[in-house]
Amino acid sequence: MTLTEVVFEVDREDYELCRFTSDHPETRIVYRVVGSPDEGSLRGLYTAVAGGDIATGLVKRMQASDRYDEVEVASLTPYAVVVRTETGKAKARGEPATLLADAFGRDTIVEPFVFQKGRLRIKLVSPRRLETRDVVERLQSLKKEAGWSEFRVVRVGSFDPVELAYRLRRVLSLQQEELVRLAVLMGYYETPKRCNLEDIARRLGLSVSPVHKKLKEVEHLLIHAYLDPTSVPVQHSAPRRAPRTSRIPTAGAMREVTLLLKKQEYEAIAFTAKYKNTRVIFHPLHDTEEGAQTLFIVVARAPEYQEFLKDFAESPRVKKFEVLAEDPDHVSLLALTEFSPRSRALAEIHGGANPLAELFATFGRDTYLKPVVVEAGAAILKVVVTRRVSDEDLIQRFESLCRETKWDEYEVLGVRDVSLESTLVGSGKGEEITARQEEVLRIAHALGYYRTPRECTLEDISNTLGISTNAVHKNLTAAEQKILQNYLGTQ
Amino acid sequence: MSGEAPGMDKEFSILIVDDEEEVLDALEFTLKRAKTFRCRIQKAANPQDALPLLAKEEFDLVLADYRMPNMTGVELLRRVKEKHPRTVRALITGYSDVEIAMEAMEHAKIHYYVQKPWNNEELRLTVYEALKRDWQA
Repeated sequence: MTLTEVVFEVDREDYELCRFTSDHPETRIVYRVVGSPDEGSLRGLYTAVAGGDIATGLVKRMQASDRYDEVEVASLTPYAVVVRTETGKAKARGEPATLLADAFGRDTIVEPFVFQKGRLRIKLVSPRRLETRDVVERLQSLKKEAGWSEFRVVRVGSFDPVELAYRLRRVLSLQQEELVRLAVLMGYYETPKRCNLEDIARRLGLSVSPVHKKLKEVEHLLIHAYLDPTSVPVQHSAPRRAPRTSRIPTAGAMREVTLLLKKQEYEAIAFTAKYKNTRVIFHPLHDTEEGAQTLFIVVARAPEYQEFLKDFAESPRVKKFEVLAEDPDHVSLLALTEFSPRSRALAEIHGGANPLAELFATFGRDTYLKPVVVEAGAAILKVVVTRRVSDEDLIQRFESLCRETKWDEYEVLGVRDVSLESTLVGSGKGEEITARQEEVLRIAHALGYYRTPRECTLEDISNTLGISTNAVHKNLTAAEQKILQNYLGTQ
Repeated sequence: MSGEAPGMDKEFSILIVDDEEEVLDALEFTLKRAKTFRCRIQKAANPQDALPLLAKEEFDLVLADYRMPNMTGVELLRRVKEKHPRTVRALITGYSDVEIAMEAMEHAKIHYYVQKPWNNEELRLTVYEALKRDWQA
């Protein structure tokens, strides 16, 4: 079942935040909806990575704007200001956040909006297959209602959580990664090659044979991991070990902490552990007085996801849920979950407290959890914070939080600065492998081309596919290069 | 993880100014329990008591409530800025009025603004960031 990722930009002069970021290109503003106090109204949080006079100027501008009914400074640090806004039902009707749900469906995951350099970038993931033409038509009608003068589609493409989960996982050891990174930098994987094995061996002070052998191992490992992610174990390169030097985040950066979690008491984790070809994506929406709204997309065949629905309905964390969409390959749910002290105690008895409230309380109200992908019994959580502390501090605090929340099987995978280009749950694709390249790769893999020793030749593959050996070689080389570069890009 | 946190080798001086005794005690209690920094705390129940302390000492951090008798926290922090420009200035307020935040940002050039009720862990994290001054690098 394919999900679709859509990225588009709006460039509109009368969005004051577009103008503001145009005037201050070093600033980035992230906006997300955090509540709907009255049905149809919007409560939003704007985090502007800007301090001092720039922050003051921004707050003034927002205060003067007629877009909001209320503006309030939630917090201020020397490098970021967080502004809370309330927009009543009447004004909210015309806001992109409201219109997107109408245009793409309530079960669409919408990432926080990003204002930067005069543009508003919006990213969403739909649990249905959308063609570019379909997306453009929806955006055209949105454009009229929202009053945009122009928009630009940046990307419409498939979003495969399996591929994503692979790309998030570290499957190479640090030594293997250093070797392949060097080979890439020296141009070994370019066409034509800029160096040969001897050059790499000379650089490393090794002989050619071990370098050749190690590179082959790495290539085969990455290809195995790409084609069958669950077959390759994860390398935990720096779990629970502090870096030697405490890196301080770069100015203007938000930080993303990635956690791997396996806790069988969580229904999504247990479900995907039992059914290996399933995925659950859940996206926290906002708090209500009753609890937290969360969107779940369960990617599974109908008999299996019925089992998930049954377990889900019996969970002490879930107050109620609504099925938004259902088809043979997936079901989308909107759930209300609780994390009041009462339900936390209840959840403790049954296993697994709701940790979201703890995370946000510790790191600030503008902290947010990106959509969580659960696959093969593990959840990958990405938490974005604006706190300007070292990696060491951040990791230490997350580990402490995980222990207090009684997550006994967790791993802090890493911390990175979040740029504008980072996308939904890390799905910022490099170059995509084409359908043809993937077909040739899968056939080659199935015939044993990537085993050591090889179990087939290029000619065997070309005979199977009915194409020339030259074409086989070109497709395989291109696919291998993209897999390598995309993997290195995520690490 | 080995060794102490970087902030533990130095004792930071913090002045807290609030006209509510319970708040002063709660802030002191919260900050003293920090695991990432050590601090010596002085408390003042009003700006008039704070001014002589500020005359004698340059604190690493001054944490002031907004609404206090005879002088607001913003005015106090503005004076801190004049006398000790390197002291980190933080305003705590129970009021959500954006005008207060604007006044504090423009007149006192505050570094931190924290709304009540605060989360203890977040407050400790904020103070730790403030004291480390990494944002000045």
